[in-house]
Amino acid sequence: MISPQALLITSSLLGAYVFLGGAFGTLYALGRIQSRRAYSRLAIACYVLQLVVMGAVVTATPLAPNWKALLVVSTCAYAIIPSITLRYLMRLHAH
Amino acid sequence: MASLSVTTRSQQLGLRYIFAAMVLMGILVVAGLLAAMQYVNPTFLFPILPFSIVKILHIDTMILFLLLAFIGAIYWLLPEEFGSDLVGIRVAEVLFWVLCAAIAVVAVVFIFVQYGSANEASLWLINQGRKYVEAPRWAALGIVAVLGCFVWNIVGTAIKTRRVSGVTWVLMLDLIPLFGLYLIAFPAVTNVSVDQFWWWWLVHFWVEATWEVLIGCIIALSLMHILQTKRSIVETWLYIEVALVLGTGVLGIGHHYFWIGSPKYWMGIGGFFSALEPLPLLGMVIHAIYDAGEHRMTTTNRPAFYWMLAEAFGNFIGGGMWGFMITLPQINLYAHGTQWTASHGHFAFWGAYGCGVICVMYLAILKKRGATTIGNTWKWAFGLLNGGLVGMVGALLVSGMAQTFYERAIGGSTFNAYITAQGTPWFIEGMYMRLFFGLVFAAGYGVLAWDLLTIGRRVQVPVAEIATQPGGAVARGTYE
Repeated sequence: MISPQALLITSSLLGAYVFLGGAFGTLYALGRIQSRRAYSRLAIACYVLQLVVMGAVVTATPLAPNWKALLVVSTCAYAIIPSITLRYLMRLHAH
Repeated sequence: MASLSVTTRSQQLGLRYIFAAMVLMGILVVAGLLAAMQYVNPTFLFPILPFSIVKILHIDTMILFLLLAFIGAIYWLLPEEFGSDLVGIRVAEVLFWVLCAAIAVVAVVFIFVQYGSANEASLWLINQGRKYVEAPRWAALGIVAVLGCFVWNIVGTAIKTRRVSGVTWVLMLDLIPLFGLYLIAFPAVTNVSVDQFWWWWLVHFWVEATWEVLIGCIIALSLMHILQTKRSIVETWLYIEVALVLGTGVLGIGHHYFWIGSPKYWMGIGGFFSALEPLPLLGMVIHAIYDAGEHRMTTTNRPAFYWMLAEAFGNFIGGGMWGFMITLPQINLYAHGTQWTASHGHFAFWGAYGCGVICVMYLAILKKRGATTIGNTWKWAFGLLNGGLVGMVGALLVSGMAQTFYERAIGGSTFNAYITAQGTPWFIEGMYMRLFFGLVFAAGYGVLAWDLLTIGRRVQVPVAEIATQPGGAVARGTYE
């Protein structure tokens, strides 16, 4: 069971988690493509915030442990997807 | 890519489909506004046009709007891909008019007959009763005929021309489930769990698998037009995206099986794969940003390009973020079937498909008219439609959260709790805001329709000037 308050908080945190992952990817790509450090710094800030949200979900919500574990693994994936994707795209376009 | 500089019959048919899709989008918007009015004032139009019928009109025209736009886009794009007009196009032209007539008849039956007795005759003539595929069987058979002809047009042309690219291979393979899954619309299964189980195969595998691949193929072909991206790049990326989307989307069907009487293991499978679904969408966002940066936002077709970018972001936010909020079983137990789900549905459909098909509409129409001066009207349509949509899904989210909180989590899903939740200020104000932003969206549709009808016609551009523009289509009657 999950309390009404915890329900809304958990789901809002999950939404914020994905949003921050997207913001990180977007700003990371913009920073690399336009060579602007401000974007890159903002990207890192978004990823740090995503880590904070993940920490909040893991420690303060009633989600089952397997979903929390999945979230931790997903956070690792969010960290590497933008750089891998961008590197692959650059290599693809260079050829 | 071989470039046909004349408009072929297939492309003319494609444009007809695109305009028919635009008309259906108009009906979708009007029906949506009526439904929004009925949430605010439940007696509005009752019993002449009850909510149940308005909702059918809204969601069925949404499916048909997208399906017709997809078919139109493919008919428009493939002749250049094959370097030839499509085979069997005369039959397809006839079937187009048959389909339009059938849609009109079905709409008239829905509006004026509405329902019948619980017997086979009603299933054949009035309504099959399954959400999204309510069309009576005779009309569903017509859709099967149109889809069958569509498959024949493409596969037949591939066999005839012996010119099959990576994109057309993916497209042809995708047509098998696209066609085959629709056949699930027919059986009348009396066990509701079994019926729902297979019905989700049709709905989910169309929306989160075959349509994803279809729009991927359409966008891949469009990218070669809009940004002149190399074929090797779009094909490689298409393979990766298709693998990732199918890898997460196929077993993601489990999130529909949580509460319909399916075995419990679907909770783990559905939750796990649904949670992974935002990841490939993030890859699409990165790709869109890379393309925008690589080309410094310069393109021969700015409206199409902006709608393509909107698709990448809309898909991620609407499908990924909004979906992830409610996809884990512990949350979904309370949130499913509320306005929260409607919020996710609106955002995801718009992001994943709506923006993509409008992109192709601009691509086809601007090429057809050889227009290089496009004005600013498209920006108004872009702003009003996306602003209206975001406002609507925000309002639905607020109402849906109120329902989830008061009706499900506090009230335990009783009928009394349902009524209580409908009366809370959060729910009511959300419904009013949805109506307001629905009107903004409708205004955006009006501007879009006006722009698509007149773009390239409002300002006369000298033919010589058009010919010097990259991507400008000038009729010379030869294949380049």
